[in-house]
Amino acid sequence: ITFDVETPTTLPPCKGSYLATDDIKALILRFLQQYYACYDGDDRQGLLNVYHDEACCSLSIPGPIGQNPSRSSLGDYFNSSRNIKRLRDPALRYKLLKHKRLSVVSFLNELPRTQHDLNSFVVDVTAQTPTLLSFVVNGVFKVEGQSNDPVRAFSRVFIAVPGPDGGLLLVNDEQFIRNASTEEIRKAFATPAPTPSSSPVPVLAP
Amino acid sequence: MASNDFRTDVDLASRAAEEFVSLYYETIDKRRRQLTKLYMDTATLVWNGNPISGQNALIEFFEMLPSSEFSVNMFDCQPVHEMATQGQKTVLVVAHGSVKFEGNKHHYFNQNFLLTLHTTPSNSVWKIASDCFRFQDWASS
Repeated sequence: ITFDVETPTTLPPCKGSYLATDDIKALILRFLQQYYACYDGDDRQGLLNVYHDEACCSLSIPGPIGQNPSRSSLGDYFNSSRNIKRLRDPALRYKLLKHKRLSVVSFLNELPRTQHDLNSFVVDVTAQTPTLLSFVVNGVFKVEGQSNDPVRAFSRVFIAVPGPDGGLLLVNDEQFIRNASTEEIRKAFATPAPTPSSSPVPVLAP
Repeated sequence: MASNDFRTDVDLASRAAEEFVSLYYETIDKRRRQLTKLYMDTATLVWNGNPISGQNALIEFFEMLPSSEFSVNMFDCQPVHEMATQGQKTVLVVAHGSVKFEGNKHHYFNQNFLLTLHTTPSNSVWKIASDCFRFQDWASS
């Protein structure tokens, strides 16, 4: 006697960016180009006008289990990492969540200098209402000023409200940083970055 | 938002996130049929770039998704500013870990949720308003 209890083993095909509509895509692309132009600059103070007065921001790195266990290689971020799974102390949890525009930007300004590969970005829009736009950016960046400019990968959630100039004003920002895989390092910065004078180019992987 | 209120919101977000993370991954692994009860009727999931909206589509999606063994090694959370949510209590939860779907190789993943608090006269319950899931190596999958 045999029974044929089928269990699925096929995963849906993985796709690139999900940007909901062309208008949202244009809005997010413009925002990311401006945001990372400043974030990758010498001084991140310019981000002050991108964050809401009451914005909050935190950063995390992988826990000790997994493919990227070497804390030391992400050492610049270790003390800022807000991994609730491991942090039991409510006071420390509170301290590592940066709140209000000035502390958010001064926190970001103290992180290592970076160069992001905008061509690596994959963006998913997770929610949109008239008062909220939430999206996740995945990609790679180089850490500058270290001996070998290591490549890191990140996954970052931005939640924004409508800004004064038709742009976006950030109220929440959570950034997860990990070591890049061999494949990600191989592909990183493979396409030359657009020059500032060139016309807008699509910066997202298809 | 006064800072005392913010502190309260941060503590509330942490407690909700802790309970949610353990409940969500246990349910998806062991009680998959119950999983969509955690989602709002109007919830949206973006799964490796595929958008899925509404209870019926979610039920169908999770039925055909192979059985899973999730392991979370990091999560973080933030209270979402009420200006964005028009006053509805909302928490952002981000998680990272590994997953093995039956018949597939291990993947590292990142997942982000927006949880909203729904209060009725008799109880209050958190539900998933949006969910975004991606494999770390999605491009080569």
